Formats: sequence, C-alpha cells, structure tokens
Amino acid sequence: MLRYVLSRILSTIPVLFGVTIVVFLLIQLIPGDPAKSILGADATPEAVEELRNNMGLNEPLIVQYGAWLSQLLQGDLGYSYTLHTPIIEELMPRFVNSLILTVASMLICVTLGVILGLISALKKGSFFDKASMGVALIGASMPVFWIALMLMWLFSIKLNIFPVSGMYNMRNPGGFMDLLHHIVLPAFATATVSLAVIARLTRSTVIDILQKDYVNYFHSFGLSKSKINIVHVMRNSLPPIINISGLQVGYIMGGALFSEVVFNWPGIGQALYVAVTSNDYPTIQAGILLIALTFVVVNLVVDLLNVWLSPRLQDSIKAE
Amino acid sequence: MTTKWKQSCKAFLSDKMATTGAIVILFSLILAVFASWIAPYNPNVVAEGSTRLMPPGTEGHILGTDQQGRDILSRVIFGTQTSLISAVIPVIIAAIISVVLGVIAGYYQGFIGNLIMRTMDIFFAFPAVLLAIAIAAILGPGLLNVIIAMVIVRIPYMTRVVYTDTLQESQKEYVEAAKAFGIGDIEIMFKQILPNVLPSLIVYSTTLAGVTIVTVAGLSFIGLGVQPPTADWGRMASDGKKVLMQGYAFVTFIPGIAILILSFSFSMIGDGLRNALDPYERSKAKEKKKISRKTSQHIA
Repeated sequence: MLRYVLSRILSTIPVLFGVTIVVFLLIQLIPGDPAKSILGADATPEAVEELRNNMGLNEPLIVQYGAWLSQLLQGDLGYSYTLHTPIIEELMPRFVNSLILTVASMLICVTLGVILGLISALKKGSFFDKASMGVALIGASMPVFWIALMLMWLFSIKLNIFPVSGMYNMRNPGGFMDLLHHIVLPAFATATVSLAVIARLTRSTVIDILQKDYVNYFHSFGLSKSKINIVHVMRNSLPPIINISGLQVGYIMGGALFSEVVFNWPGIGQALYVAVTSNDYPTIQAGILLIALTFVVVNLVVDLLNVWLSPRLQDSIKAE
Repeated sequence: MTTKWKQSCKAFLSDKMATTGAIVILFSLILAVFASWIAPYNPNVVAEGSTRLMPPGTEGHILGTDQQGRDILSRVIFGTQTSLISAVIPVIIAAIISVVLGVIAGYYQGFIGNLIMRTMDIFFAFPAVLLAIAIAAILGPGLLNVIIAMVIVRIPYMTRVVYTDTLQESQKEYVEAAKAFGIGDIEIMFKQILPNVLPSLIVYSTTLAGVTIVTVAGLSFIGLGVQPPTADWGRMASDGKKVLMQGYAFVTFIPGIAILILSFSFSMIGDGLRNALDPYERSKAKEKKKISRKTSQHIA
C-alpha cells in the first residue's frame, strides 16, 4: 500500500516536468516575433533587438527553458506586461480567492449532486426523479457564463437578493457572512454542470446497487430500509462517485474562470481574462501554470482518496 | 456486416431523443447553409435608436433586437454557421490525428506507445477550457486559431479512447492470425484493427462536438474566436451582458438557449449512437424496456 502511494506520488514528477515544458512552449506560439508584438508596430529595430536580448530570445530554446525553469523554481513567474509588477505578487492573493470559489463550488456540486441522485434513485420513476433528471440532462449542456449571467439577472437584478459582483462589500466589508453572501451566485454558476453530472451518475450507481443480491439479502434479513440505504448502499456507491467528483475538479476550475469574469470575482480566472484581452503573455503563462500545477496535485489527492475508500482497489493493488 | 449496420440504424431510429437530436442538427445545418436566404434581416446592420432593444414578440422582430438594433433572430440564424464549424471541424481533425496516434500507441506499445501516451498525460494536467483559452489567446483572436486550440485540446482525450480500444483489439486472435499470415503492421493497424476501433471513436466524437460548442462559445464570450461584427452566439451573450444590468435579459438569454439546444442535440445523438452501435447496450436497453413494460402492466 505504502509502495503504491509512493509510486503514485513519484509518477507526478514527470507530469509536472512536462507541464512546465508545455507552458514554456506556449509562448513560442506567439505569431511572429514576440518582442515585436509586445512593443507594437512602431518599435524601432534597435528596441526590438534589445528586448529580444533581455528576454533571452536569441539563446537556443533549451537554454531559454533552463533559465525560465530555474527562475520558476525560485518562485519567480516574471513580470506582467501591463501591470509592470512581479506576477507572483499579483496572482497569489487571487489564487487564494479562486481556491475559495473552487472549494465552495465543489461542496455544492458534490453534496447537492449526491443528495439529488440518491433521492431520485430511491424514488425511481416518481415525479421528483423525472423532473430532476430531466433538468440534470439538460443542465450538463449549459455554458457556465450563460448560467452565471442568468443567475445574476434573476437573483441580483430582478430579486435583489445577492450582490452583482465582487467578493466583499466595497464600502463595508463584513467578514465571513459578507463573503458567503457574495459567493453564492458564482459558486452555483460554477457548480451547475458538475452537479448535473454527479446527480446522474449517483442515481445510476445507486440503482445498480439496489438491485444487487446482498441488498435483497439484507431486506429479507429484516434490516431497516434506512439503515440498508445509508450504510450499505451509500458505502458501495462511494468509489464511482468520488471518481467522477475528482474528474469534475477540472471542469470546476475551467468554469470558475467564467463565473469570475461575470461576477468580477478577484480570482486567477479574472486575471487571466484581463491578461487575454491585453495580450499580457507572461501573466497568461503564469496563470495557466499555476492552475495546472494545482490540478495535478488535486488529481493525486483524489486518486489516493479513491484507493483509501475503496477496499476492492486496495486488494487489486496488493495482488500486484 | 450489412445486417449489423441495418440493426444499428434501426436501433438509432427507434431512439426518440437521438432522432430528435439528429433532426435538430440537420435543421441547423440547413439554417447555416441557407442563412442569407432564411434570415429576415442582415445580421450586422446597425439600426437607429427607436428599433433598439425591442422585446421578443415585436412585429417584424420575433426574437427582438439587441442594443444596436440588430435583429436577434437573424443573428441566431447566422450564428449557426460559426457554431457548427467550430464544433465539427476541430473534432474531425482531432479524430484523424488521434486515430493515427492511438492506433500506433496501442499496437506497438513499448517505447513508442509510452512516449505517445505519457505525452498525452501531460495535457491531461490542464483543465481543457483553460488550455484552449491560453492557446487561442497566444495565437491571437480569430476562428482559425480557436479551431487550432480546440484540436490540440481534444487530441489527448480522443487518443486515449483509440489507444484503449486498440490495446484490447491487438490481443485478439484475428490480429495474431494476420501476423502469422505475414501481413504488414500498417495494414493490420489500419485495415484490420481500425474498423473495430472506429465505432466508439464516432460515439465519443459526437459527444465531444456538443461539448466543443459550449467551450467555443466560452472562448467567444471572453473575446477570442470570431471577431465582430460576425454573428456568434458566445459573442452575442457577451454583448448582452452590457444591457443585462438594465433588465434586458433576452439579449443574453436567446443565444444561450441556441447554444444549449445545439450542444444538447449532439450529446443526444452521441448517446443514441452508443446504444445503437453496441449490441450489449442495445440488448440491455431492450431488456430494460421489457421489464418496465412488464412492471407497469403488473401495476395496472
């Protein structure tokens, strides 16, 4: 078991390494001369040449990568073209804000998804089941930015229940409750698609397990229905649910960008959006790198969690 | 072979959701091709003050007009062009590349297989939408660059599907037999194995086309992709955001519904194809129908 955990952790090292290569190579995709496109069309050839030298663009690619990586390992993500500040200073607080939004969205989609799926499975064929699964089926095809805008229109503009934008009240920031008030809409917008996916999977998993012989056996044994459902059915449904929830992390992180843009949430996604609209390539590079590194770590945690919660997987690992 | 296809077609056509999806896609294809004849107005003509932000249902403008007085119905109709192009073309290109990569990786395994699949693993470390945004942003705005970004982002997923299937197929007897006959590797890979790998790739591609519509709409929403004034659903929703604050939700609502309908149709076709092409799933679906019919009779 320990050996599996160690080898799984070690297996992320080449992936992390590969991620840095891909992110580094992204900049090579800039059409034409990056120095020229940064300075604009009016730049003198001397200025372009100087910037090329400063950026190390005249060095061979592998040398450029080495220099970039060693800076990266020292926590230096470069300077923003537009803000002229170290990117790390700009992105770190935003990273935390994005993490808050991502965790809130995960909590919503996992808890509500599992509850909806479970009730639908237990009341299979009922109106509740049909209605919620119909909505879930369609919900999985909705664009996040559109859900965000529609939630904003309904709950902020029409009903005036939740704020239109931001993370705290600008005039009167009020701690946790204020944050909670601001996070509801962006978190729900980010969570909707994954919520639908998790609800559908939970339903089909639970229905499969309810038909298993051992569940019938427990019934005939006289165990109470709620005990069977909660202890045995739920416990056996967990591994696929955790698996799909882990897969949703990527969607949530991607979707968060759109919620952040719509609701002006001061996270990494919003910074990426600003960077995209102003051609701030180093910030795009740093943002995507930070998100990918987080994603790799999250995937590792989900995998380990999966093994820890699923005795069958543990057995197969031991057998190897 | 022919009876197999006939059965699959029959199974697909008996699936109501899937056929509805197919009809919707066919309909939107007609809209896209004949947009200039079907659309009541020029989608890009900006009108003067009085015809701005007319609500849906207004005479002459069934879906209303946006803040520049442009007819929303006409823009939705023209928007099918970019939506279909950006959904279908990247998926087809990515599928072709993935077939080559996946079949080679699955057939040879070993060093080549590892090299290909471990490279794909690196791309799985990025949330797809974000990688697409980064690539498209660095390449610069425009439909072509969005297509390139989507191709890059979709290849790892599709390659993995082809790889897994090829791995299974290459252990089967017919492959061994072909080898024993002295048939070359390339012929085995692309004449013997490929036809058996294609069905699941087709199913997956259809579903991915639906997902791609939503992703591309997202890219347009943040300003990448098709540039104004070309009508594009993601861009329309983003334009609508400006007047949403004043309570004009329909400018955003309508293009979103269009995205939803098209994307949902593709995923329904994908589900239908999966059931139709997989005899096991097909029999399971039939069985389920039988059981539910029996139980409902029983209850009645």
